[in-house]
Amino acid sequence: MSNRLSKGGDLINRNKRLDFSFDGKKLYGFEGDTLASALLANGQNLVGRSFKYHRPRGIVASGVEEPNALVSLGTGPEFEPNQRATVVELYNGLVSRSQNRWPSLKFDMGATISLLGSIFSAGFYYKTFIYPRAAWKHIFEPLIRHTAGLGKAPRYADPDRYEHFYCHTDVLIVGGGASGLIAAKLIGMSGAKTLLLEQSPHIGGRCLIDKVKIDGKDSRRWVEDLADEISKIDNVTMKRRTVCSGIYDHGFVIGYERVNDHQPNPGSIRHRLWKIRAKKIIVATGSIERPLVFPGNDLPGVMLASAVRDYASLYGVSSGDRTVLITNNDNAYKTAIQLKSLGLSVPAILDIREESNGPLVQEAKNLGISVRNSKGISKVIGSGTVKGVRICSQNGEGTTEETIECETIAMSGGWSPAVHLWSHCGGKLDWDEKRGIFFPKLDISPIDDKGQKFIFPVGGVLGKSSTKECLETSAAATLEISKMLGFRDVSIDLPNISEPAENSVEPVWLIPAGAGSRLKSQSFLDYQNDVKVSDIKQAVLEGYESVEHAKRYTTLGMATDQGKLSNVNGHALLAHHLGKSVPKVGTTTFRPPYTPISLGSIAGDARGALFKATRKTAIDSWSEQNGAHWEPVADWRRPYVYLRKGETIDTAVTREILNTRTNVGILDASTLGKIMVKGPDAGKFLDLIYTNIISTLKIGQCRYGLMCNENGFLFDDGVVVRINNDTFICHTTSGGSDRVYSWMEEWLQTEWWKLDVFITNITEQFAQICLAGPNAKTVIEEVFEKRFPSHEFAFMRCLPVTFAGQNANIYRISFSGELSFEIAVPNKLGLSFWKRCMEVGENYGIQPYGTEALHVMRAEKGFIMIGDETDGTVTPQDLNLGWAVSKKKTDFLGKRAQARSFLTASNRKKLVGLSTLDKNLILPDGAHIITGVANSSTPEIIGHVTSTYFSPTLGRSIALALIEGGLDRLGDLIDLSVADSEIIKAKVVDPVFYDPEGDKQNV
Amino acid sequence: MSNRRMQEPKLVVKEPENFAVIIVKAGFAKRSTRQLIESVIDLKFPSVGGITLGRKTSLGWMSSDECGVITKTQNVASLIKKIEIKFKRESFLCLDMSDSRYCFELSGKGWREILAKGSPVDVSDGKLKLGVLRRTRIGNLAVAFWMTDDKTVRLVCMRSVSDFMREWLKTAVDPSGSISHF
Repeated sequence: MSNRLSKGGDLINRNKRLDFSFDGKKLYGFEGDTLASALLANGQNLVGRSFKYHRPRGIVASGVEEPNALVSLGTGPEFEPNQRATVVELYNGLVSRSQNRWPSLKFDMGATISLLGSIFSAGFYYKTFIYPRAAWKHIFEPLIRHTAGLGKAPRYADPDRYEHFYCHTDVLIVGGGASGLIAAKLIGMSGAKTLLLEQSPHIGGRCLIDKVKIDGKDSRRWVEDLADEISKIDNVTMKRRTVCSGIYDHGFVIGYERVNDHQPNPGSIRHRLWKIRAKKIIVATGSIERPLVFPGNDLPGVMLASAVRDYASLYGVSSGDRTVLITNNDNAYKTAIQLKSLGLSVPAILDIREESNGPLVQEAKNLGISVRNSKGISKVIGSGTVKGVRICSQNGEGTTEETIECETIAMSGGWSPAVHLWSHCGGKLDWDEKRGIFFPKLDISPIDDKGQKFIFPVGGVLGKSSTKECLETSAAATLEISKMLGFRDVSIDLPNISEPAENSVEPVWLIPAGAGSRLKSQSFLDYQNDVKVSDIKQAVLEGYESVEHAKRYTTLGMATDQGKLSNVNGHALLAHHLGKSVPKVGTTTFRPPYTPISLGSIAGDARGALFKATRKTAIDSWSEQNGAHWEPVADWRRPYVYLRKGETIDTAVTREILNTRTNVGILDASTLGKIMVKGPDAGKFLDLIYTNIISTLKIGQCRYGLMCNENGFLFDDGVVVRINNDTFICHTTSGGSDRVYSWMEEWLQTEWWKLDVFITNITEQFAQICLAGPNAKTVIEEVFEKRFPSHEFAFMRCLPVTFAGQNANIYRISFSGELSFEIAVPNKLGLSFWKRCMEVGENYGIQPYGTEALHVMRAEKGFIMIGDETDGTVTPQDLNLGWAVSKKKTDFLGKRAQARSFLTASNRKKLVGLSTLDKNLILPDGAHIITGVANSSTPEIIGHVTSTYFSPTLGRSIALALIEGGLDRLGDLIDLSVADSEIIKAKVVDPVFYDPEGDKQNV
Repeated sequence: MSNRRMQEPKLVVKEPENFAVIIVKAGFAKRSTRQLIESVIDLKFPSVGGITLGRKTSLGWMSSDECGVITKTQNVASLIKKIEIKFKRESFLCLDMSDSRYCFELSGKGWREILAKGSPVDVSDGKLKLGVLRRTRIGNLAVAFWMTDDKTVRLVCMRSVSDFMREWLKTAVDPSGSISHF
């Protein structure tokens, strides 16, 4: 059983006790512990259940690569599933729970599924659950949905905050081990701005554990001194608890900083996502120890040799009193030597190699540890945890030769370089057959925008195992980078290092080598997903040759650790079964993030009020205080209707319409796009942009214009005003101002650059307020204290005025069909102008109206709305607006397209009005108009409803529609399909329902 | 944190009410056209991405055919008049755009960090310095910023989103998210 040792633990503070709980059990650890070390210290090695078979799972690693120890943390709003206990820093009051088990971790009903293991082999879900057909919907799918997924989804909103941070640096160094630190010192001294990211809370990497002598100092002391030295270099920043999640093209990097995970404080920043632009990147991410594949290697108590060493050295935790070591390399002997020095028992070292005689081996032997060469494991004894091990010959089929009692099995299959970041941005890999590792292929390096290499792997990533080699590769990379970036060359004498030599590893993919089917089905590759050697074999037998296909079929490497432990073993076994070499099989794709990151950090501050910006007009605050019921219009918010006490939306809309038609209504039309076009060629330019002629407009005159794209389809409309000889203001739709502005700018810059024209978007410079209704004129005359006789200020005219001493324009235009004026005043005066109108209008029955009243009134007049009557496939001619398409102009955008046979075809859908037989029945928007209902043949769709409302003015429902034949069908009775069998009858009428002569607006 | 930074005053966000900007579009590729605006403002025409700071008025580079005259509200009318007279033989567009823009002013400790929480540009002191004007974004909002002295930066956005910008700044300056990087 694991426990806390009476001494040791470089990272913990035994004077500060921290209380925490696991599955409701009250436990304690020390400051500096990880949750994993604290659990082990409390004898809690069983921490979870595997995904598929619900097999018991224990802590196997000590870092980010941990596949097993996934726990849920916190309660209520702070609950979060799937946290790796090996990287969770312990804090007082931490609440943790195991996952994927019911009713308890020790007794999990789900484990019965492993009895059916032979059915649930790789790809079982592609072959089972097929018959009977009906069972899928009612039994299999609900069952699978219930079973699937690790951990539970949080039920409450996250109370924490997250943010982004942009950072630019000359050099980014990833990894704060010996390689990264020496690089930071050298690059820092060269004068380059340097950022170093270390994923853990501690700088030093393996120097903290595998102590060697560097310049006569203990490596931990050397690291501390070096970190001190670096912190004094102004141009170097070191970030702890910040993992480099991904490296992308041209030196863009995502860093994930766990700001407050170790000291939770709801409401404060929890994670910060760093968006880094680095000119050069040094990747010093080291390597990850590889498990060995033997029968029963998934039982709690089987751990990586380095992890056993880490827990003892850093946290003063023994993983078990008796540890059997199994290894294919010298490095793992360090674990046995350390355990022995702590007074723990190491009954045997099983060395798979035929021979081993390096200094570490010798040291172990000198300590009296029995080293058994060419030996493997045929079985791990124990059900919930390791009780012992059966030893066999590595080269045999697994006949047990001896049984040894033990609590822990420390395994080491060598070290795999952490090549993930190199691969993220396109770096290729080479295979070292002798050592069984993939490492960066340096002669094909990813390149930056200048065609130079920008990513420099050093140290363990290159497969270097000695500290000396690591420092040398770092120094070489820094020299190259300083030269490339033009900084000072800094060369220092690298420190003297005294460390034991290690003999090379002997890659071994299966123990024992001659394992048969039974043993293969007990040998695990991916602990979280329960992928076994037998699954790989089965995938090959079923024809899955590509490594990517085999991955999906078996789920190898699809767990949350993304194959950090399982991939190399799995790929080598796949190669073995395919009869190919490992590099021929290759690896699956390395994708960001390197380790899981929170969704909150990706969202950053974009939540709640900051989720998306809402554009507000100058009148917004008044509307807010006066009952506005808002609707989004592009990025703006606009009052849909102004609600009064006791009103429903429908009654309020009706009131606003009737009041506007009988008294006067006031509308905030500030969101309307306004683009100023100025220059000697402004008229010529607008003649090309609009379908009708604009250049003939007289100063002070307004004209309704249409804009088409090059395919002849209508995409925006609005009133154009000529302000003076060379200046026009083009009004656009509310949502279209930025689009139209960009459209104009693009044509000016790319095609018509010879035209002497300047344009600018003045949408927000002016508040635009519309007064509409029979009393509108009286109100504006009182507001401006001036008479506006119709013969001087006729319909479609513009009049310059002043308000509060500032220039303003009144446009006599109408979108409601009423006598109407739109007044543009400087934005800052918008609210005072609105209030003045309300004050003056009080005697004339003024009421504000919202966008719904606006829409109903325009539909009553048969005015089209971009986005309702148009959908990107509609031409002006389809909308009976052929009168606004010039036949005289030699060219305009869309002219040639409109001459195509498709756009001139007689059967195009054209705009009509619809009048339902039942006047109270409002047609559903988009309802299809169909024929062929009577003769019960398959109905044909001949049109659809584009706008539909109840018109309070007319006391009946009205609709606009596009229908084949258009106004040729006037008076026809048509069928509208609104449900499977429901048909509504309506009559085709003129689209102008209200005041067809235009007497009201022209008065 | 260096001593220099420890001594910096607390971060303050202000909203200068008399901020004004006049947009001038013209063929500034020509030296003679640049000279026209230089003679009105009495400031050198800025280089690409630059701003020439003056005591009352500054001149910012906006694009190859546009500059921004940044001034106080009370100067706008007379400046426009002068520009219109100077440019009478040119094709140009000159407009007071003050009502469509909104200005925030950040000064004190940590203003660079605040900008770095939302803007992808390099705001370190070697890059964002006096004389630099950046047209960029904060989150999803288009903004421009420049330093007015060695402790102060002005941040301009569209007026319609000033409420959002204010809320964003309030969140970004909250001490719970403090970061000291520059």
